[in-house]
Amino acid sequence: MNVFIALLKREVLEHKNLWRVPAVLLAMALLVKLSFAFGNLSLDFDVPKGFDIESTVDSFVNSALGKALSVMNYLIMLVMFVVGIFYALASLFNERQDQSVLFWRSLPISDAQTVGAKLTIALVLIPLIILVLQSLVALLFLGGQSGNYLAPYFASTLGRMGQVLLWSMLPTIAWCLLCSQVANKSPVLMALVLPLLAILVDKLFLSGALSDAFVINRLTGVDHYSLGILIAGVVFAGVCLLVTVAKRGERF
Amino acid sequence: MLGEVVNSDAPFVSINGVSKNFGSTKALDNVSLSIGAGEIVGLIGSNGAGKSTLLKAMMGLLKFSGDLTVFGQNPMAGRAELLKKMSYIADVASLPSWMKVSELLSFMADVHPQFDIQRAKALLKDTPIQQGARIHALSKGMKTRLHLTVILAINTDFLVLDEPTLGLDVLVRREFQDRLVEDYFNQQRSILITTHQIDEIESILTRVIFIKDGRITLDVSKSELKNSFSKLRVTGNVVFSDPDLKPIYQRQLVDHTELIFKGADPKVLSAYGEVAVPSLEDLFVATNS
Repeated sequence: MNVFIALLKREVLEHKNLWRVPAVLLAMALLVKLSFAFGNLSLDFDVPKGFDIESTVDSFVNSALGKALSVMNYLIMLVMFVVGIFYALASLFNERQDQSVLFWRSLPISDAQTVGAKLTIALVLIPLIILVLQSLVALLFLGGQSGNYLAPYFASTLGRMGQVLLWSMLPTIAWCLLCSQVANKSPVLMALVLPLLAILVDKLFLSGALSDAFVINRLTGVDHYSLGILIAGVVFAGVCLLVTVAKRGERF
Repeated sequence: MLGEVVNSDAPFVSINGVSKNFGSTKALDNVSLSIGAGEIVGLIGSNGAGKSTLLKAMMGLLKFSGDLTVFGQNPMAGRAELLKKMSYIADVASLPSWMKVSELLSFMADVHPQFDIQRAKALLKDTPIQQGARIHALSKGMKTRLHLTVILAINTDFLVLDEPTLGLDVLVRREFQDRLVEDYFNQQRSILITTHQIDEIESILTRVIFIKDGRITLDVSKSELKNSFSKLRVTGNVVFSDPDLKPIYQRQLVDHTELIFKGADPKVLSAYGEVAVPSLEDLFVATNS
């Protein structure tokens, strides 16, 4: 357990965006709050259903402020998931680029532990950061009343976020970790081009239903959620992770 | 189990008839050797001779045929467990450059049960390396020194170094070797060094193993080496009256000829010219050509 915590700590020290981006997001929230006090904030941005709170609940706050909160919280989630994706794409690739993988692998740490730590950062630490950030922003916007906002907000969004994590993020992150481990030049390119090619072939020569079901619906949201496809995604993620661990094991 | 007390006479590494083929090329061809306590072994061969393949087999990184145990265990069984008992430097330029020295030390203390952080700090006190420094800010020589310091603070009895001083200048190389001998080596421990630059490690080795095309061509202790090989330097043509006196290698230079003999009496040889102990480089060329 001690080893695993040390591995997580190492990731946070190495990938500074994991705490720099949250700091920027908080600064942004502060600007929005100041704009309420002194500026002329108006928002033309709609948050997808399920990621805001019901209008009956937010009546206790200024409705513009309530909307700003929902937008801010949605933005926090999106941005941090993007941070997670880029983290996954960079983490194993960087080790190979700077040769430090040779050092890491000379220590009594298994490849499964290392890859597991990286997966934990993307799928556990980042969601936790999202929750903490959202709570801090609510506190910043509403002060003492934030509890009255956060309770119904989390009641309606936590389940959704869990769904997104399993439905979209788990297969995406596992795929990105695999690309990070095996790409020669650019994991980003590999992670994008291979699925795009597969989709293109499917759309041009087949019905396109497969790529809709397995890739596109997964990335555009949780509206097409179904158990069979969810399990397919989890299995896909498992295969990606196993290959990643095996490939890392080939490094001397 | 690795946790059990290993018989102190048992070899650290025991290799028996190990072969490995990559396609039709024999990377290792029936290799047998064992390494016990109190040895500094140089595994010497050209690029592609099989050094790395042998190390990989020892680390459990590839499958092979034959018997190979490290600390009495098949290395395929658990690489992470094995690395608690042996330390290893694959490349001295591999420390994570973004880390601070202090972060590196505390990371090591967290992940390696045999790492002695107090010893690491004490060893670092003798160097110009500051604990607050970032690794990328250190010179190449200092990075090497730091890597070695970290490894020396791990209490394992077996240290494997793969081409450890490749690309380092002579001062850093010398320092590296001195630290190995002074701060690590004792009669309970062993070091295995692979290299293709022979002359630079000759002085610290207690035993030499030459490998060529996957086969071991020579395996002798340094003391044995002095007794069984001689180098004769003659001017002009020479005819040996004794038919048993056959050089294993002959090299024609501008004004003299160098001949390497195995098992010849130096007293007999001295009748023909100047006799000396051959350098490892001489022997390497003699046994590999």
